[in-house]
Amino acid sequence: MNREQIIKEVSEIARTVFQKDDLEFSDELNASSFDTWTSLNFMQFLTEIETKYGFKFKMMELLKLKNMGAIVDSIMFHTSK
Amino acid sequence: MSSEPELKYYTVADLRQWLLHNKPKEGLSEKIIAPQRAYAIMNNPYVKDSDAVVSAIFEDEEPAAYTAAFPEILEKPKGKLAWWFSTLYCRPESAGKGYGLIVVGQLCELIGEGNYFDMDGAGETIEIFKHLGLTCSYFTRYIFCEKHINTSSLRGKLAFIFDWCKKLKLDRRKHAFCKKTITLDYYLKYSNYVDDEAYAFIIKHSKDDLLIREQRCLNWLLQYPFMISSPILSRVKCDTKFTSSVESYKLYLVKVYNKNDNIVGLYSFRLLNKEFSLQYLYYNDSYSEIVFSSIAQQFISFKAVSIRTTHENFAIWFRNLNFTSKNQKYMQSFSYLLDSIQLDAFSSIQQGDGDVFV
Repeated sequence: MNREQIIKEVSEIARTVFQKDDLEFSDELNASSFDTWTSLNFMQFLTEIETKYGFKFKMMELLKLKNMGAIVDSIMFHTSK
Repeated sequence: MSSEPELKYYTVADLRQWLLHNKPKEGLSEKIIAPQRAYAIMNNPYVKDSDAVVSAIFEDEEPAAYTAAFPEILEKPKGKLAWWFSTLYCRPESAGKGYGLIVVGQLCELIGEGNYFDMDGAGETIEIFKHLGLTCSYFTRYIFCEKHINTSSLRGKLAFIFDWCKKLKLDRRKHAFCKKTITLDYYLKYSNYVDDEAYAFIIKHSKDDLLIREQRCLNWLLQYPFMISSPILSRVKCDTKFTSSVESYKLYLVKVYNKNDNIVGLYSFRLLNKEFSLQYLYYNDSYSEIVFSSIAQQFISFKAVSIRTTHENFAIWFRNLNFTSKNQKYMQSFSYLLDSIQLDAFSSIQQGDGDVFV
């Protein structure tokens, strides 16, 4: 699975979970980018990703998910195994 | 330039080094766990020195999120070891980064396969526990209290006068209740520990309880309450968001005896300032009037302004006394990961079940 494809899918999930139809993906998007990126929504976002790609983030891994770019990289790592 | 966030955990041995030898492991301070809470966990009868009990994330060496947990072996379900999460905090500027999940998840990873409980969690907390595989159920908590009136407006002032008249009426009702119940034939014994007689009574009269704590766990909670009142707090600096401190904190364990010297009821309650919370209640059905009346007497004599309970029978009985102007019902969450239990309409949770004796 290539990065572009993952970005497209993650963007769809993000638009739904963060209730932001006009969300434009960028690697720098993070918790301070928009108001609907709340703790609760972020939890749901992680759950959706884990369900879609069939893996669980390790706790130390979560600590490094500083932005969307890091999340996509992590998905690439897991799905390439 | 901010540095990378750091995830750390602390064991029971670390708490001991900090509290007794003043040698805290890096980052361990009252900012992430109140000393009285740490002291209680350190003295928990089920912990081992190597158990991880506190987890925290630091950003630029400042705590951004933290949690704590303690173990307990239950009487019901018999012999089950369960871990209670006792605090979870994430500072607002670090929200949305998944820190709550990370600190809780780290402790779960360190504890390993096990049974986990969390009581009365907020929305985010419930999601975290669901994510970690816990089931979330709800049960009812009843709160009876006085109305708070804002006297800054004319309407407020008029309402205040109306409420003051109503209060006089409620006071007369309480006075009449005391006069009427003075003839009930019972006496009370106050205690600061659950002795064998009391524990046998608990076992006999807790058929509907989802969980029953072991005698040594109840005594640990009585001996090391997570809360302390301000006279002690002034000597213990607490910056944590969970200081577990109040102006006034009292905890009582009461045994009720009939005229034949038989124990017919046992309850514990705590007074947090003027808020009365009925923590545990066990009674012989034939003596419910006596036991409930004695609780109401305590409520009156301590001049409490509110009372909370999860006990439906007592709540219905107390509501009929009309001692308070506002009666409320809340749904309280209980998240659990334990195959042998299921919270349903036929099982009950006591107010005192949970991470703290509050």
